[in-house]
Amino acid sequence: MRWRELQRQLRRKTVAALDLPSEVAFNLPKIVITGNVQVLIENHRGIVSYDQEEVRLLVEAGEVAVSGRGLVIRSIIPEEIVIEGEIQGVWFV
Amino acid sequence: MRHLIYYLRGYVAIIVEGKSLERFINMAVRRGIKFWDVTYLGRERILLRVRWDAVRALRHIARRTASRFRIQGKAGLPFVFGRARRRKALYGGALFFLAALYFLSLFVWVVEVSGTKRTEATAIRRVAAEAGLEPGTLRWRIKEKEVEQVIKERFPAVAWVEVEIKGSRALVRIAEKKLPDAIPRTPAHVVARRAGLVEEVLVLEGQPVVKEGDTVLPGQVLISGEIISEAEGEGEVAPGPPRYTRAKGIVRARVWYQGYGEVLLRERGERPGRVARALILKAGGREVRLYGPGSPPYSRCRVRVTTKKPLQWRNFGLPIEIISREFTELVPYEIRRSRAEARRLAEQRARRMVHSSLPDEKRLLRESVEEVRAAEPEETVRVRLEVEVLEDIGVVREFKP
Repeated sequence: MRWRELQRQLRRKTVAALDLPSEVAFNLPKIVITGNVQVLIENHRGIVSYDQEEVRLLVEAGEVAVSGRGLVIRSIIPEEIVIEGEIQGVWFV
Repeated sequence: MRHLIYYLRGYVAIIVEGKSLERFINMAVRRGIKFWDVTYLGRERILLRVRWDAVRALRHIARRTASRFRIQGKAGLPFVFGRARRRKALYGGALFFLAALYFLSLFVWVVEVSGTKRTEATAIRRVAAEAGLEPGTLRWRIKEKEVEQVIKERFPAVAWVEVEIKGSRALVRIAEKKLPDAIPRTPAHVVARRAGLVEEVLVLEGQPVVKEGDTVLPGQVLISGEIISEAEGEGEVAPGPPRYTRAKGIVRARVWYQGYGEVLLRERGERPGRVARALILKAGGREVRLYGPGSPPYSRCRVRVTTKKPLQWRNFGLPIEIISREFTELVPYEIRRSRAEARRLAEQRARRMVHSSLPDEKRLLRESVEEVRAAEPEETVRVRLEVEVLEDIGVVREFKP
């Protein structure tokens, strides 16, 4: 446990020193919202639920919910998902 | 761009049904199967598109996630080919057509020769065929430079030749040398073309027979091609045998031309006016008017009738005739002229008559216009035109010694 703690601390310091983007260093999701028509989420871990009104995705820090109307998954690959439709909100839950 | 790749590789649209569709998607995605255009259709039903070679793996995943799917549609090139395999005759035919077209385009089918004036195009075509350029030859077998060389060697009159193959046509472009015309060697006199008064004799070859001031008649020898050598000194000696040559020279003479023109002071006549056409179909003994007037529509007119028999072949044919009648109206007219006007017109007519018979190379010396008046005054102006011209009246006429 102590070893893990040390490892995390070291990583945080390295990231700060090297100025690395955190989505790379900590596997955090990177979310790009284009208007209210498209949401691109990198670094997702899979779909929790999907229907026309809401798409829930598993990410490193928990879950991301995209809500809207007529949602369509334009494409999905292991690292990246593109959701299109009439976007109303993106929430962290 | 991405859609093009999807199309080339082929994809299917499938409808997945099941209780845990999210698991189905996650599992597939983790295995590297890419989905796109995932659409929610209703409770526990989604439509998605996927590469068609991933379908086998998806079956496995569906079994493990307790879902079912069915293929809704196929798109892409592999399926087009699959259909083509079923309709062998159609696609095979199309392929055969293309192949045949390509095969036929490998040959030269037409040899065109242009630029020939004195040499026969057919002769050039024959020589080109000997050199390996003829309809039905494979295009790459033809050596243009060689064909050019052969044509140049065989036709000395050809100055330049270019062989160009354009598709299935071979163009042979030729420029000929300008060779001087062969001069005939037969003896000849220079004789008079017209009657006239000789002004000037310039002999280049031959013996002059006329001198300045002589009056000559048409056909009279001016410069003789028969040279009789005069014996010098002794007048008694008989002249030697005559030498024959082709006489050459210029004999300029005064020549008179006459023209005449007359114009009526009051001219009456008829000129064509409106035109009406009628088309008549004649079948058997009956005539049916298709359109146009049946009888002449003008009080005075000229009728032209043309008959056509359609569908004729040798002795057989339909007993049908198409007759077209063209009525041209004749309108009477009357022109009144003053005496001066009439005279000018008459002069013009006379001059036109004279100038049509004048040679190209001449020098006008004198022109006189004279009005011919009759004993009692009449309704016509008559004009006589006399033109005096200096021109070369000699023409070459060959003779047998």
